[in-house]
Amino acid sequence: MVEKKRKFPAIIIKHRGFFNLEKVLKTITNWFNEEDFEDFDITDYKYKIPSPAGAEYEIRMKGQKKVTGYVMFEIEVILWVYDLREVELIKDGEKIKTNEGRIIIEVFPVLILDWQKRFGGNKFLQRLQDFYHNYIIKYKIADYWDDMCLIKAGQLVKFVQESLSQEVT
Amino acid sequence: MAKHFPIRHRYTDIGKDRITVANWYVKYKEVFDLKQLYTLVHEWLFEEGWCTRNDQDFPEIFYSQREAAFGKDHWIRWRLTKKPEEGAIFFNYEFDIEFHTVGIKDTEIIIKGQKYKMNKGEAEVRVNTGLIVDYSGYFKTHPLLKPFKKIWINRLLKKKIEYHKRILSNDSYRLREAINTYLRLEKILPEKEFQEFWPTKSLD
Repeated sequence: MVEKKRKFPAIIIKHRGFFNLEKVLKTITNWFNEEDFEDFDITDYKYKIPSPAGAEYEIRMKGQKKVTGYVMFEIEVILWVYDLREVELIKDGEKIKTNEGRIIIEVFPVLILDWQKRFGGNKFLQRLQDFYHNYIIKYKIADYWDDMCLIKAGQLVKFVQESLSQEVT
Repeated sequence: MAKHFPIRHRYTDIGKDRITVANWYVKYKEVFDLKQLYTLVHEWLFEEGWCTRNDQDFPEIFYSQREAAFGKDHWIRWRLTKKPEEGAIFFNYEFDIEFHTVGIKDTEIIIKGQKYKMNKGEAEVRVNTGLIVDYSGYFKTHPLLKPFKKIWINRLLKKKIEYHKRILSNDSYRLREAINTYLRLEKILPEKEFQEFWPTKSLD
């Protein structure tokens, strides 16, 4: 294994009440496109036949962005939707169709180093890579690339929260 | 001996170094949604960092379902471990969760004019939380430090152990609170756990 992944704790957003699922999904996909995440993909899309309580969804999305020739950001988003029902609301005197239910959005930021596998091949190169990571670019990774990756995930979280009409600072 | 009897209790090697922090169970006999309860406990564990979203890594070591005329019986065992934020080399947290159900039958209830599928029967959730000291076996294997292990644990690490025990017991009782909230049982802690997002058994 030459490619080194630095995983961060998941950022979790929970919402119970009214929200527009389509709007949330569009916000996430648009953000990935606008931020130039090249390998964006909806890896899983599960839908369960609605029970009287509502429908259930499990949607997984993943995007990767090549930042430099050595560093890559990967952001995975998992949406869990429970008891989703269509409802009609009156907002500013106008009838709008929206959804009611419970949604959990988990954002997993990952920093991938050496995505081109330059240090692949033999054990000497792998040791060299460890030396490079632990002594030469140690602070560049910890103080810069880690933060950049988390900032990107934070931006996405902010957009998602806005689409859920949550309070955003 | 181990050669002849390879099946051993997992605490055989750990011995006395496992300190039981909290040991409780919740027993319930009425109408509830077993799947919801199962999911709720899993979600709580994920949020608290006890497991990942990868189901292949989830330590459900035993799942048994017996179907009889009077209903289904389940035995489900989860054995979770977590590294603490401080002192990860020396300490380790453990959560042993056991679901046991008896005579679970499908039933339907009507809430606000709509039929919902539920389960009827008896369920028991048993949790044993433990703190493992000298997790890496550093003292056990070290020839010079081995005799001082007791002094080290009982005197020098006493405050640290108390600190970890407090964190672990907090976690454990918060899980009980989440289960109690779902089952609409009496709450003990001042703050309700998981109530804002997850529905209770009566789906409110």
